[in-house]
Amino acid sequence: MSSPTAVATGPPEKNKRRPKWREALARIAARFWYGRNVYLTAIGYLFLLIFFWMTAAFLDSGSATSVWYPPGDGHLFGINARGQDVFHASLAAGTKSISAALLAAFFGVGLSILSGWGIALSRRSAPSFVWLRRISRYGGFCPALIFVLIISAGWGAGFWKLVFLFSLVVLVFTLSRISDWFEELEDRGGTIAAEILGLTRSQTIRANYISFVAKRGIALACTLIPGLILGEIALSFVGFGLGPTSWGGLLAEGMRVLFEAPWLTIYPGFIITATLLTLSLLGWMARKSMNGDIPPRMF
Amino acid sequence: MIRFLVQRFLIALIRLAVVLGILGLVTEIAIGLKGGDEPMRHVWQWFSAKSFPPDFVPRLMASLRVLLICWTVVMILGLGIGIFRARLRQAKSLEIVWLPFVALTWAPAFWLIGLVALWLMERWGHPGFADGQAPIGGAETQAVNQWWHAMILGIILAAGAIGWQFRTCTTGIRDSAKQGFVRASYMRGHRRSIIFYDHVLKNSMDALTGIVDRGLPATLGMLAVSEWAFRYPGLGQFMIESARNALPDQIFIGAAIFSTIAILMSMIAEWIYGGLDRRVRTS
Repeated sequence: MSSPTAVATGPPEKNKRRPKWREALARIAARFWYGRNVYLTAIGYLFLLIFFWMTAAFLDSGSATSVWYPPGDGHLFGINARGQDVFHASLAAGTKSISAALLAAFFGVGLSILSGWGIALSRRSAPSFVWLRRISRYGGFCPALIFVLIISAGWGAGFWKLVFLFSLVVLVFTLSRISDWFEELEDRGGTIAAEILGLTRSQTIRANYISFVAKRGIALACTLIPGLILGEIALSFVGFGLGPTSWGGLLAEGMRVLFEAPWLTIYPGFIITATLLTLSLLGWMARKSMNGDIPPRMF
Repeated sequence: MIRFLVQRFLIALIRLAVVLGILGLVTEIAIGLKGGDEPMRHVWQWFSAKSFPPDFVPRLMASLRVLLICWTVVMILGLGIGIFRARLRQAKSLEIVWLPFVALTWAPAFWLIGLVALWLMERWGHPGFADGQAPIGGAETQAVNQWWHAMILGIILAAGAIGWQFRTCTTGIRDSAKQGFVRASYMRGHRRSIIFYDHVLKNSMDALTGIVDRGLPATLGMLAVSEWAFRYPGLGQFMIESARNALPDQIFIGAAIFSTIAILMSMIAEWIYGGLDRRVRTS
């Protein structure tokens, strides 16, 4: 009878370390795998932005004929009064709206984080900052669009003016929430440990808070973008905002000749809705991936 | 209970004062930015009856009519779909049923108005805008026409707002359903429907009563632009016309009314919340 256990006949295997390049590759692969949702979301945004910006760069300036043509061969969405294909013109107009909303969302949330940081820094010495958060909370009762409309009525329209005003709106509407995030971190173990170790308030905030708040802030800005674009479209539609070559401007132009050339209203509207829905889904993905369990070293 | 109601009323008054202060400041800044020799009405000059435009009350009533229709539809459908979606949260394939509502959230209301006007033109041969003749009745049935136009505008606005409201409602209920007592009830063998309707819903009153006021300011903003697009003689149209004529002082009063409506609705939501949940009013 043979023995139940097999006996190794070859030379014994050496307990050697894997090559460094393989370890480095494995580390990179693991990092990509853990952050796959973040990378996918970022690729989605990049793809969308490059698509819109490329379309705007190659838009045919057309010939101002003041005559529009219905959808037909070669121009499935018709031609507008500037002699441009409606599909291309709609995408090019979207570039302005998306850029303005993107800038306003990130500027606004950035300002909010800085203000929240300031409030968190002085919380122990000056609790009177609570009134600022309350004002921010109460500011939400007035329609943001009306706020911007009042200022625009006096100040006029323009790209940077709109970005500035929308950033202020974002600041007012998010300051309270971002201050709550800072407050949420007050009772965490890291903060208490930092205090026991004798770190200053500023050092504690830098060490414990910023990574957490920045992640959430980016996600918040991403979710605000579609709403800001909708606000910009509404403003441009009534004659403010980014002028006639933006999405709102195109819709206003189309509404003026609604019964004569309905394709000038119908198709841009569909493109706007589809883009906003995509951005909304991307924002949702961003929020999900940023709040998820991702390695802190990524930030 | 009375103490709770009075307390929330006083808080609403403070909120109103703060919001009016912010609005007044913003208006004065806008007047300052405009400059020029044109005489402007300052915020404090609005507090006399002579300052109001002559057609102010009919415009306010017209806007309230739209808001009544819109918000009734939003509350009924938002609450209904929100609860239904939360109850069927395990059926992931059903999510596609709600997708049209989510898509409508991102469709500009004034664009939908254009589509409805086109459809009315095709169907009845009338442009369908509020300044034209309504397809039902004639000049003699003016009241019916007013409600007809308000209904078109209200339902279009509601279509956009429902998507927001039912998602907020569902998220709140789902958060409640994750609590420990729900799992314990399952483990003890209680029926799913009893756990959901008797316990989870009662513990998510914040989300359910939030239907009354959350999202209202955004809808009010869109109402102003939609009124202008639909040529509907409401307060929103008045504000947009004032902005187009570079008269920031004229917008103040409309904005103040819209903010007051939002604050009132918020107070009503808090009253309902406190009335339904003893823990809130006694805390």
